[in-house]
Amino acid sequence: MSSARRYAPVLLLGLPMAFFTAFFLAPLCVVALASVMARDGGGFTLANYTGILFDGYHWDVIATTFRIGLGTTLVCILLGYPLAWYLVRIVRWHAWRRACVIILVVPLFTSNIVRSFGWMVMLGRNGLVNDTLQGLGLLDRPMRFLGTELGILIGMVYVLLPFVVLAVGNTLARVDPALEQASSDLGAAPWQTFLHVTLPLTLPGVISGAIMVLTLAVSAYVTPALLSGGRVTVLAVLIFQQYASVFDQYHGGALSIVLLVLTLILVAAANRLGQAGGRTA
Amino acid sequence: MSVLLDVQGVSKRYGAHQALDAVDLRVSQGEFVALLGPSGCGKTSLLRAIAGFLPIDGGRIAIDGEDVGRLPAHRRPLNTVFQNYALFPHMTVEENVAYGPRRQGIARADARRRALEALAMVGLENMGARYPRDMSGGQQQRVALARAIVNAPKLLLLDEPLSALDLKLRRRMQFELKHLQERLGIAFVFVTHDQEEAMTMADRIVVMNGGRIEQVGTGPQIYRAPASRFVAEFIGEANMLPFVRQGDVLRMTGLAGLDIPVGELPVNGAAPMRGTAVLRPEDLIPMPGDNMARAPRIDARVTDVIRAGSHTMVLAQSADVLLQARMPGDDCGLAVGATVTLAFDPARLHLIGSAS
Repeated sequence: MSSARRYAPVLLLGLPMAFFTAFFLAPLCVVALASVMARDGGGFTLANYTGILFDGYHWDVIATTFRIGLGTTLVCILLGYPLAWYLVRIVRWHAWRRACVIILVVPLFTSNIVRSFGWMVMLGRNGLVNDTLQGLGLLDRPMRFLGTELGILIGMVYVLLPFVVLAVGNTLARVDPALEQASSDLGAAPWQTFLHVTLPLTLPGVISGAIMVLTLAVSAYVTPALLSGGRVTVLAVLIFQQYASVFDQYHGGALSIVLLVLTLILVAAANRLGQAGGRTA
Repeated sequence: MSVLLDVQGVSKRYGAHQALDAVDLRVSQGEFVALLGPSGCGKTSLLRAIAGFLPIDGGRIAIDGEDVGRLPAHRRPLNTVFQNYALFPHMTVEENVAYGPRRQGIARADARRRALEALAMVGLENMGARYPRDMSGGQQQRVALARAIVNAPKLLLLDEPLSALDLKLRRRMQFELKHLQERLGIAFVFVTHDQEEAMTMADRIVVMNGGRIEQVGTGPQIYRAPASRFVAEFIGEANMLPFVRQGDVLRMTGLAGLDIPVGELPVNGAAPMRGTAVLRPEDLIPMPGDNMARAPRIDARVTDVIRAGSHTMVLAQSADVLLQARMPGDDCGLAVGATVTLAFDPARLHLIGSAS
């Protein structure tokens, strides 16, 4: 009995630890190890990294990846925050709120590939978007979306917007409306109330939504692969090519680690921003 | 004293529910007015309408002669103490209090000085660097108060500000609030469902029910001379004795034909034809002495004796009416089941007429 009690924590901790090691740590180690191995099997080397870091093409791909990733994050916040506001603060009718959330979330249940093909149809030369813009007289000739960063960004925003809406909506619902009333009672105009009260109090939600969107956007493969038409290359596509086409797991591993490190740096920066914003303001 | 707040015919309807029904209210400069009533009576709706958080369907709200009924909340010259304080959790106490002056465009150093002055007024001058979550309920209450008075408004609205405090602290805060109000000369409109609180603090009490004002008056006025059955029953305890007038006598129909000459009543000849006579429990005397030899008497059977420490409530049944008598002390010498004679001075009756 006493031995059972002594071993219970070991079992309780051991199982998840084993799971974590087998499915998260081990694959990462394989990738990390490959990234520092010489291609001819001759021991450790940093050549895989220097090959990336001293090459302009790779920097272009990295820049494109993070440009699209940060752009997607920014657009998601700018669209998602008002949407979350609408759902939490404006909608009084519960059925309608639930319907909105379902409409927002349902695409997440469908295949990414299907959704991206949908956007290929929508964004095509004779697609719905071009037809509408031309019909409204905003465009003279069809605009090129497919194979541009803008097209990829549109597809990514569509996929990732729910993360921001849900994260911001959750924190917003926990902000007591009386705080906003107190602010306006003390003479703050609506924009001042937003700037000094609502935004700082919902910043944690904005930051966590942004981190989710950013990490998913810079590592996204399907959407950029389908919407780029081979004209725009992002890191995930390049990594896939290394593994699947060139069979160069060393170069691919190094690229993966570069992506991971750069993403972690951005996440850390976002976290710092969130803490600083939460303290002052 | 000039009129500061003038509310005329203010109405608000939510679907089928009439939250405010043509409410009229005038508050003078420096006056302490309590809005009193059961939950759902419209007192909080009225407060929110004055503050600008509740758009009204009709009527006029003027402050200092200026119609503010259509102004957004942040343009109205008043401040509010919220029920749960609504302190900004991401700001220190000092930042909370300086928030108002800052939004009025006052420079940071000046706003800080004002905040410290306001905090000193509520006895929290050394707590400016703390966050609200690190303070007790009573301290948070004071911060909310400091934040509301820092802009020196002429009118302060308070939405059940003491309801979250325990009884002892609430009593102390009642006196502190009252003294602060007198010192600053700010008019207070104070929402409460606690009649004792209203009686303790307010110059005038506004009793509300069903979206309407039932009566406005001082504490003694609404206690001694309630304008309606609702007020009589809501404020304190009351014996409600139905009567019909028959010529020069008032026949108490619930008390086996007790007759009282109209001449002995405070209303004199103006007694209504039928209605309810209100008699407060402390005016109903069990086992009357010789000094009440000529007073009307009621025989009743004791059903309950409630000892409350400072006084004793005796409940006694007489004919159709359950009477309540309040006696000083904790030993009335009466037991449940005993018969008792109760007497009262007719001058203490208050008559409320009823239609038809």
